[in-house]
Order: sequence, then C-alpha cells, then structure tokens
Amino acid sequence: MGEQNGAPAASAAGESGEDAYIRAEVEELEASPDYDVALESLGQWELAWRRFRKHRMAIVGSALFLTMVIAGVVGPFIMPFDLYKIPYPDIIDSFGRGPMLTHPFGETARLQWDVLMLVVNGTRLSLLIGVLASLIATIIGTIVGGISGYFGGWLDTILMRIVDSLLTLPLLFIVLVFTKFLGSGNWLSVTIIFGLFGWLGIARLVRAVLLSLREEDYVDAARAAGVGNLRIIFRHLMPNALSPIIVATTLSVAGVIIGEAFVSFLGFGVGPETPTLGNILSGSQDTIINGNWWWAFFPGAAIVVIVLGINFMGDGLRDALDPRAKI
Amino acid sequence: MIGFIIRRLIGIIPTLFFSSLLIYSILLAAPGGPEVRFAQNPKVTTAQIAAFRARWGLDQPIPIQYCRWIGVCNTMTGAKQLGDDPVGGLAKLFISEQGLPNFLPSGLGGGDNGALHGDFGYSSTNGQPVASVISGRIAATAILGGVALVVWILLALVSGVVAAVNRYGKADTIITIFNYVGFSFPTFWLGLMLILLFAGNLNWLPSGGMWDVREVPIFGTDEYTQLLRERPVFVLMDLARHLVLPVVTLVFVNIAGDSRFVRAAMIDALGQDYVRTARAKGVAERRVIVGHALRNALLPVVTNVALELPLLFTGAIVTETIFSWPGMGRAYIEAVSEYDYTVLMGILVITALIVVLANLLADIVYAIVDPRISYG
Repeated sequence: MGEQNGAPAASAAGESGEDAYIRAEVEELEASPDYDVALESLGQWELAWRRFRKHRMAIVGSALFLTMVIAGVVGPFIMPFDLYKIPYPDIIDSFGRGPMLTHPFGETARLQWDVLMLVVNGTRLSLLIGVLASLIATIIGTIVGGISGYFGGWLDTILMRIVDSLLTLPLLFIVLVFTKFLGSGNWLSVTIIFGLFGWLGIARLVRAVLLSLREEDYVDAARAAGVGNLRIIFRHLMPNALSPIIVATTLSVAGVIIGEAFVSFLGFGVGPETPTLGNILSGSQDTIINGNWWWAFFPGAAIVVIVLGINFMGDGLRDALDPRAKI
Repeated sequence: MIGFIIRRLIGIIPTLFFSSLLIYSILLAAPGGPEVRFAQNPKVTTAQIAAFRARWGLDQPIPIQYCRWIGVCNTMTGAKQLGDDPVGGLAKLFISEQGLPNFLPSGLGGGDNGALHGDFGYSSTNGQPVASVISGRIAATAILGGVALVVWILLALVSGVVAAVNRYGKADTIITIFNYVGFSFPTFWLGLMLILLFAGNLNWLPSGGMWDVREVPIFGTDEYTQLLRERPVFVLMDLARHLVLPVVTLVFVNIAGDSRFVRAAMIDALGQDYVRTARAKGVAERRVIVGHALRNALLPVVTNVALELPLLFTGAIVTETIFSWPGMGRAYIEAVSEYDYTVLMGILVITALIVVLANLLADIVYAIVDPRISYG
C-alpha cells in the first residue's frame, strides 16, 4: 500500500537519521508484548497487576506470605497434636527433644509441646492480629486524615497536635496501660489496642495526599455541582489516595506482627493460653544457652518469613500502584 | 540563630507539659497501681494497703497528684483534700513552706518537690530516689547506644554510597536484600540467635551482662573506677567482649533504614547538575562521589542522625533485656512489671525531653551544615 505517498517503509534508502530512529522505536514498540495491551486501554487495577507480576521481589514476597497464610489457616486443622491438651510424651525429657520425624520442629523444654503445632497456631493468631489491627488503623487513619486534610484550618491543627502527642507515647507503655482497661492477656484487646494506636502514620499520609488533592479542579467542579463535603472526601478524593493507603496498610501488617511479638515476648501482650509467634518464644530464652535451639529458632523464623514477605509485597505494590511507572 | 534557639527552647515547655500530663493521667486512670504487688500477699491487710496509698499520696485526686509531681503544688499534708476547705486548702496547696509560690526555684522561696525542682520522687518498690535510679542506668545505656550508633552510621554510609553508585547493579541488589532482611528481623529473636551461636555453641562471647562478675566489680561503683584506673586494658577488653553481641544486634536491626536513606540521598545528589559539571571537567570519579555528591548527600543524613540520637538512651529496651544490660531499657521494663509509677514517669519524661532536644538539635545542625537555611 501507499508507496506513491512516500510511506517511510517504502523509502528506506532515503530516510533521515531521525526517521530511522522513529521507525526503529515504533517497530520495537510494536514487537513488544505490551503493544496490544496499550491498545486495549486497561483499567488502572489491571495495569497495576501487570506491573506487580513483573516485580520479582513482589512475587517472591507474595509466595512467602501466602505460604505462611496457608500454614496458619490449614495447619491447625491437620496437626495431630491438640493445642488444648497438655502433651503426653512417650519419653519424659524436661530439656525437650530436638527435631525428629514425629516432631519436625522439635519439642519445647519442660512441658514438651510440639513446636510445629505452636508455630502454625501462632502464625494463625499473629496474622489475624496483624490484619485486623491494620484494618482498624486504616479505617480510623483514613477518616481522621481525610477530615484533617480536606477541611484544614483549626480542625487540622487540633487533630495533628493530637497525633503528635500520641506519637510520643512508647508502644510498651500503651500496651501495658490499655490492656488493664480491656483485659490483659486477651488477644482481642491487644488487637484493638494496636488498631486504636496504629492509625497515626496513615492519618498523616492521607492528610498529606488530600492537602494537595483538594486544590484540584474536579473538587471545585463537584462543589459547584452541590456535592456535600463528606461525599467529596470519600467519593471523589479517597479513590485517588487509595494507592498510598493500600501500601501503608500492607506494611503496617508487618509492623503490628513484629510489635505484637515484641510485647508478647516480654510478657505484656497476648497471654500464653492463646499462642502467637511472640509469646511462644517467651520461655525459650532460659533454655537456649543449654542448646535447645529449635524452640527459639522456628517461631522466630516464621516471623521473619512473614514480615519479609509483607515488606517485599509492599515494595512491589508501591511500584505497581504508581501510575507514572511504565508497564 | 540564637533567637531561633531561644524561641524553640521556650516552645519545648508546653510540649513537655502536655506530654507529661497525658502520660500521667493515662497511667493513673488505669486500674491497678503500685499496691498491686501486695495483692497476692496474705499478710498484707486492706488497712495496710490504704495506709500505703495514703503515704504515697495515691488517695489524692489525680490533678493534685500531678500538680505535686510537677512541683507546682507542695507536698504538705495540711492542704491535701480538694473538698476540705475550698478557699484556704486550695490556696495553701500552691504555697511553699517559705510562703511563696511553690513552683519557684527553692533558692527563691519555692518548694523543693516535683519535676520542676529536679525531684522525680522515690521508687515505690525500693525507696531509692528516681533521679539516682536513672542516673545509675543512663551511663550503661549511653555506652551501648553510643558504640552501636557510631558503627551503624558508618556502615550505613558506606553501604548506602556503594548501593547508590552501583544503582540496580549487583552490589545494590545484595545491599537491598540485606537491608530488607535486617528490617524484617525481630530484635529479640536476633539477640537470641546470636546468644545461641556465639555464646552457646561456639562459646566465644559472654551471653549477657556488662562485666565479668568473677573478675570485675559492679559497673558504676568506686571499685570499678579504681580497677579501671589500675588495669585499664583488662577492664576495657572485658567491656568490649560484653559489648559485641548487643552492638551487633542493634546495628543489624537499625542499619536498614539509614542505609536506604543514604542511598536515596546519594542517588538524588548524583543526578544533580553540579555532578555532571564535575564529571565533564574531568574530575576523577572517586572525587566526584566523595567530594561532590557525598558532601551534599550528607545534609539530610546528618539531620536524620540527630533525630536518631534519642535511641541512644531509649531504643535498646529489647536488646538490654535479652543481653541483661543494666541500662535504662532494663530499668523501664522492671518499672513496668513492678508498677513502679514514679520511676516509669521519670523515665518517660526524660525520654520525651531527650526526643524534643534531639529534634531541636536536628534543626540547628541542619542550619549549620546547609548555608542556604536561615532561621532569622
């Protein structure tokens, strides 16, 4: 076709350097697998998913995280040992026996609990606490940050001063004092405390995003059309702030899991009757020097795998949800 | 600059006031209290507990307790109940024994109780003054935190610069993965694993403590100082051996954030025009990196380090617990488990003070290293 019109493909001999460059670029683009993609006009979530899939660390992280989720959800049901029955070992050994076929992760010292059974149950509860607390924190943080960033003024000043003063409270202090109100040792009260005090970072983030978004023209347009303030915040502005919120929520799950493990390890968090990855470690410190390494090793390794997985995933999400990033 | 510092120092006062008020009211509003440790003791009667509460002033209304703690109210028992005598009682509360407002320095006729006069009260578990409990611990914490801080800043600088220069290269990938792993490690577990490996299996290093109890007297005593003077090499080597594991723990966990920070600042600096100019002029690459890019990348890093200084005193709670380090973190945990409110308040308020001062220091340092900043 079009040879008479001097189409570039027909006049290869006479093309200038610039023409050649453009042709090469176009050919390369057409050859790339993303060419058809661009023509399909994908939604932002599909684009994000494509970017996420290509992020090697994100995929590794998701695999790690998913493995632990499966272990935590399915594990407790297929374990031959019961969490609510004191173990009845065939050989009494107060030092605890090391990994073997019937106890792949070994036994704890003293009561000889099966460590694998503790790890899968602990994983389940730690994940549950992490996800629940992060969701609570995200909801509170989004509401406070949204109101603060959208309205600004004295409301913003008051809310942010409250955030500042709450940030000076150390985690251990908060957990210690508020478990007294909500019931100490109870995993649900620990979850609620982490949720009620974990929203500060997300509130700051949402506020910062909304401070810039509220100056956009579409906000003026919505306001001119008579849309109410709350509807503008949650219907028009929030969807645009969704990406940073998703990333922050993901990363906060890891933060809560480590924080909970830390307070429970010290004995101020979730009580021993409901094992989490932190509190099953709390007795292991005394026997570790005598060589009972399996009790401390496996629960801690489970924490590292979960948190590493989440951090990788969060990093991948950050890149994938950035609309300026290339496919 | 001087004016700026003075204004900021004055600004600290309300912050600290609200911070201490917040901590104090939350702490005292919670159920339980210092008398909780008698709850399991059958020999302690309810009357004795009531007497204990009265002696420690715990039966007073919380506003009066706070007012006395901070030193605006006096501790005289004659003016203790809010409801007693609305005019005389209340007024007497704020007047010192010398007849002047209690909050004034005692030399000027004020009282000598309360945080304003440097008196944080007495530990409710062992009766020691809180100030001496804290000052006995702060040196040990500063030694551990100081060594760890120096090591991790140096390592963060080196690894951050190497990662930025080889951006997306092999070294960058390795450092990034290392940082992520460090970031994902729970401190207490890393400490346990280090004890297991180096103190348990290999038996190279002590598993905890700050000095060898068989050879060296207690840290902070006159005997320790005397031995340090007589055999400095021996005592310092002993200290160094005990420092290795906790320092490694702190460094490994804390390096990740700083290393990423240095990397980002360095990548930013390497993309600036003056770096291109320097390269175009034919300046050696090494000199471009160290002399041109790093010097500018250090600006945000220095600020970040100043903000991390409070960690010297507070950041090592877990590490100190795991390694039995006799510092502030341990004192904090002990106070928490014993419901020792006075010690807890003292530690929390001093921590808040250090945090606020570090923020101020960060601003000042930033103004010094960056000549473009002026605080008028």
